[in-house]
Amino acid sequence: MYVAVKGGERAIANAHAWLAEERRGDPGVPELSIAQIREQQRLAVDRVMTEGSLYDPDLAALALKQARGDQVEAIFLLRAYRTTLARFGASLPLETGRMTVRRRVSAIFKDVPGGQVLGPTFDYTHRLLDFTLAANGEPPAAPVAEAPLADTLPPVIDVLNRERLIEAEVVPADEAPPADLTREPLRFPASRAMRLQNLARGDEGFLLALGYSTQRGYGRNHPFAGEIRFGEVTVELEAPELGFAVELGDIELTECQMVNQFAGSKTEPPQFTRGYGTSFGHGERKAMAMALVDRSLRAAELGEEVSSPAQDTEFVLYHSDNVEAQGFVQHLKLPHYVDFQSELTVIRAMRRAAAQTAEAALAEAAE
Amino acid sequence: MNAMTEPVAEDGYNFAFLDEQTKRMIRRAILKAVAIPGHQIPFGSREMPLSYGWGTGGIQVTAAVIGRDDTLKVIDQGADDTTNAVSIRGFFRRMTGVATTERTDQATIVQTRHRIPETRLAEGQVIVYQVPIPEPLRWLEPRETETCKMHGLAEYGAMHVKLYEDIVRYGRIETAYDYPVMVNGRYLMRPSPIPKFDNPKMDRMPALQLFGAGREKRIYAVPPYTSVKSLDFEDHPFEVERWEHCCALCGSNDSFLDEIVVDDSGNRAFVCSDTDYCGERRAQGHQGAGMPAGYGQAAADGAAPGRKGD
Amino acid sequence: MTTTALPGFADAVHDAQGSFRKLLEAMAHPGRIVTVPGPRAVPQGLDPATASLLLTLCDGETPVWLDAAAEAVAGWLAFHTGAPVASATGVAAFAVALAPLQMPALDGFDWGTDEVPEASTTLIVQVKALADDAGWTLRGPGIATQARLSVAGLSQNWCTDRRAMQAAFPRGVDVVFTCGHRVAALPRTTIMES
Ligand SMILES: [Zn+2]
Repeated sequence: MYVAVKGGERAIANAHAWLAEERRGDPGVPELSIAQIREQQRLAVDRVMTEGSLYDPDLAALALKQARGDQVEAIFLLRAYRTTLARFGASLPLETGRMTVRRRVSAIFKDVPGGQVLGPTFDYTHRLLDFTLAANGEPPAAPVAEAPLADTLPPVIDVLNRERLIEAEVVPADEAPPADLTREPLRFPASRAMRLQNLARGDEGFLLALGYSTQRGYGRNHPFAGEIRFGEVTVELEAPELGFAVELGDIELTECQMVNQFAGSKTEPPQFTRGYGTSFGHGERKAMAMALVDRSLRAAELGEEVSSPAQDTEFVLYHSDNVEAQGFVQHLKLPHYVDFQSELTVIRAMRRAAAQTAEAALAEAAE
Repeated sequence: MNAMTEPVAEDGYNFAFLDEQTKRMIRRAILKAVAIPGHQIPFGSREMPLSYGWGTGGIQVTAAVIGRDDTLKVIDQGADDTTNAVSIRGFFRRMTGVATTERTDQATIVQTRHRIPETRLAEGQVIVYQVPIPEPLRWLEPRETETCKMHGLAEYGAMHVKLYEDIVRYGRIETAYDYPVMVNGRYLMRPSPIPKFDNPKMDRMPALQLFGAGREKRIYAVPPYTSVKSLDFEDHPFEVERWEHCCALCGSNDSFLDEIVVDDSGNRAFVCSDTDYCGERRAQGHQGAGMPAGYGQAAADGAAPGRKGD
Repeated sequence: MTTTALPGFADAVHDAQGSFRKLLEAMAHPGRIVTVPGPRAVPQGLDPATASLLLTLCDGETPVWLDAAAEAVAGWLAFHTGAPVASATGVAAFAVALAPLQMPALDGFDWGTDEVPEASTTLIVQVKALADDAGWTLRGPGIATQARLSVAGLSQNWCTDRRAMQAAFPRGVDVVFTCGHRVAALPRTTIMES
């Protein structure tokens, strides 16, 4: 029967059941718990929270479990859930200068106030597969420092700030609070606040490639890693009825301040400029790539030539979102046979016309 | 009130999934879209539980419009039983509990991808198009900032040049679907990827036409009885596709036909893309030449073939 | 009972949907008079249709301008919708006129721009009488051939201004008239003949 070429409700239900089985894998192997994913696949959880724009490690772990470890699919799940959540208010800006630091490095000074803190990093690990993990993943206890770190470490960039060697970053008192990109469409020209929101949600791979392209000369901006820090910051909400801010809790956050050379312009003296990147949890690669792209998107505002993809605001902001991108790329799986039929009709007619023209030319030549 | 007939949405979700604030935002955009026919209104498109590119714009528009008394029809490629149409219809059944139908003439809202039903839509009906790329000038100018200006100035010369270049090069306009239209003599509009065969149905259609592009975050509309003209030239008037065949099932010679490859040697059969129209015609006794013998034995129910118990 | 404590829609979800759908019909068929569901109670001065549209359309994202006669309902509006009161006509998403004869000139409201014509004010004008068998002859999108609409209590200037606005399309304002439970719309596309 004709309907055999179409999918039906039963086909969809069966496909979903099969998917659920595949997700579980061999039932002889113990099932993963949400807590195991949250604790032992933490960086995957962090990425899902960052690009999912929702700080909830348990939900992100659940999304990863449901998505069979597919990060973009997990991000999609978390975002779709986020849509249904009511908004109670907007938190105060995070005071990352008051972060309880677990890692903080700067590449622009040999030593900085509070010291370089290497912390838990893959940097300097030799990327050799550790076969002991295959059998037993219990690590020996890490040594503990003799003296604890200071409660807070001053941002390295403040050193440059004091000397006015870096552009001041002052929020005008009359500036409206930034719009919420998940509630309002992107419009151009996009403010830096909107661009940063977009980049924070943007696909890590896309930003990594763009950031890398600036280093290879496609919109070079001479970056230095001014500071990368990772630790806990407190989220506070101002309650109008109380008249003061209340602490909602701590979240883990990574922040990157990139310092870039700037030759100066007609109105600005030569000085360093900034690129900023951040991510939930521990996401240095994302934060650094984001900082490079943030800076390259400031090319026009700083009077630099705009010639490369990473400097092209519309190009970057319209293509950074992996939930949008995966949907549109994969929608090609949907049937397009009506459009294809239209194309077939046109192509056949064009071929007929071309054949007739050729025949006529032949006949003319024969005469 | 009779609880048995009252549509019931799934527990834990608002009626039609979207929260009321989101519905208000979309409703305001729809009203503006109707007041400025063919102009794209940016809106705060939400992240839906279905993928961008799979109808999220149409779904959000339908969700903002639909009420308990509505009867919903969902088609993809003209058919009610294509997988994505089934999936979207199932979503609204879960989230609203409203009645659904395959009958074009019984639907109050028709959500569609890639087709306009063959049965003429009537006043009072709403057709919601799923739109992948709303900007008609996008292939000519990738920048939103530029296309915005072009619409503001009604500067559409580039599109005419593009179409005329087709004529010079190929002797005809090679655009077969998503063929650009002028709305009310002012705005250039993409009709969504419907075949140009369907374009004439949009002109002065008695039903309200709403367009939703979720990923691109735009809504636009054509009010009833509004002029919708496919771009053309005096010496190359707009024309639609024609088939040398009739529908193998219902014998129709004026509907859009799907070409189906029926065997390994590449033989074809032609059937209506609009499954409701074809079915209604057959119910009225119309008959085509029939499908080739033995066609369509293969199952496609998504179950794992040969997997269980092997 | 204070104004703010008056109840809103009996069913916030479905009454708003019903009201919107009727307004959409009115907007899609300029001049057509539709009936919208009203809230359970309305503050003094507001007709049920006016109150219904405000509950349906307004929230914290839509500054609403109120004419002097409507100022008394600011508390009710804020309580039920969270909409801020617009300080000037030019920055309002919606404007409510309960005394149409005294309302500011049309060009005092936001008409949007050629590129962003949707950034315009929508006027909700409460009138004493609406009829569709007399008055202006209307043509344009949404109208099969022609429609009639008669609106009581508008100044002659208003009609002149509204006709002059037609040349500015796509800039302009869309107008919704309310009367009792009834609503009729005059989007900017509609050509008003005398
Ligand atoms: Zn047929």
